[in-house]
Amino acid sequence: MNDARSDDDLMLAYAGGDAEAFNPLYARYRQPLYRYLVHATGQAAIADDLYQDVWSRIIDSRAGFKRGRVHQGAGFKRWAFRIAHNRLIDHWRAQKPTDSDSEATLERLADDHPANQPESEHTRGEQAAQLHAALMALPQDQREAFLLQQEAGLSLADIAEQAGVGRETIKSRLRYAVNKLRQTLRPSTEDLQP
Amino acid sequence: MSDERHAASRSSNTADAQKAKLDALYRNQEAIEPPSGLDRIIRARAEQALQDDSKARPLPWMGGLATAAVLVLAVAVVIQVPEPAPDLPVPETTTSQRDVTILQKEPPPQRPAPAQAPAALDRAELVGSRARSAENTAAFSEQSVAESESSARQLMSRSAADRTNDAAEAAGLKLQSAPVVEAEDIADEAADDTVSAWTKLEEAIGEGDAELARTLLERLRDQSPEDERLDEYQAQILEIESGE
Repeated sequence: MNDARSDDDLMLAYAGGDAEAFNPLYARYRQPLYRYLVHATGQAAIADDLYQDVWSRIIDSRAGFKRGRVHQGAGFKRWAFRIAHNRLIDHWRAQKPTDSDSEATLERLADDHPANQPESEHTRGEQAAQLHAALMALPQDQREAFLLQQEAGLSLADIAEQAGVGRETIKSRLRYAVNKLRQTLRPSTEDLQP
Repeated sequence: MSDERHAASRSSNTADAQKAKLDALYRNQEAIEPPSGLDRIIRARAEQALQDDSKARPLPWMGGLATAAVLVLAVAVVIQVPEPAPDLPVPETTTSQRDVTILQKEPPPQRPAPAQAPAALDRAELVGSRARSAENTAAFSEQSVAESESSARQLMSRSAADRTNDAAEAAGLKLQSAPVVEAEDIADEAADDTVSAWTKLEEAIGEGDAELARTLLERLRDQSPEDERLDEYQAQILEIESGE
């Protein structure tokens, strides 16, 4: 499964007919893409649908993939997260935004509270639930910018390009997002050893 | 001042530390993974897409087969096409270099092929009558009797009707060239005799044959460019042409 080839090389090989090249590429991005969608939507069921749809689009668009020119080897990462981002935008546009979105998410997370989990996993599960709740409490644009930075590791310029706004705007959104998360998760971040 | 800077620096360090803790907290969410069922579905879909590609791709020998089929078809068409009809005998022309220039300047009007055979027949009769007319005219001039008679005989001997019948059996462009050459011949013959040429010009205008009239007019203009009648006949020819 460990393949020394870059993401771009793997994607180009897959597009050229090498089916085996897809597996290492999928292994590298299955978790970042899924977490990005889960944190962005707040609902695992919706994230599952979007996740499958995103990979279907990646597969169907394989012939149009081009190697990254500016960021050598990072073309696939930017491309894949752009597809995911666009799919998320479509999803949000199709949904009617309601004021109770955040409350519903918090209630859902409370239902998923890992009270029945083993004691060793209890703390981590609690932190995950808090983080999830804090992310869902963020405004959509700030959450999107934060997730693209955290999951995709995209630069400010790349995030700005995907969001269609200026670099300084993304910088500001990220600053606000981090501050709000820090305030919401203060006990967790204080307890957590760096 | 120093205290403020120190406080700002401490605040910045605290913020960085908090950000690092937040990042670490976020990185701890390893448990969030796509369901294994989704993994299987997506991997299967990736393989299926490549298999569909290979099915949709044309077979390598299809190109060669298509080329061979096209070649066979082309050869068959070439073999089946009948040989073209024998060329129409080109009438001997007495055109000089000047006539060639006029022919190049005034190409014959393009007419649709199906209408050419009957039109050529009419033209042949007209040419025959002109030849007879030229013969009659020549009788009035003792100096040009021999030339006019030979001209008329030459034109008659070509048997315009026969040639037109031959032309009707032959294909397209040759039919167009015959009347033009005949008009040139008549003009050449008549141009040798100035009096006869003026008479023929009048007859051509009277018969409404603008083509012959114009050719004769050009000959006469070359011979006597100062003649005042030229402009008058020129105007009449224009009227005929505009009437057509």
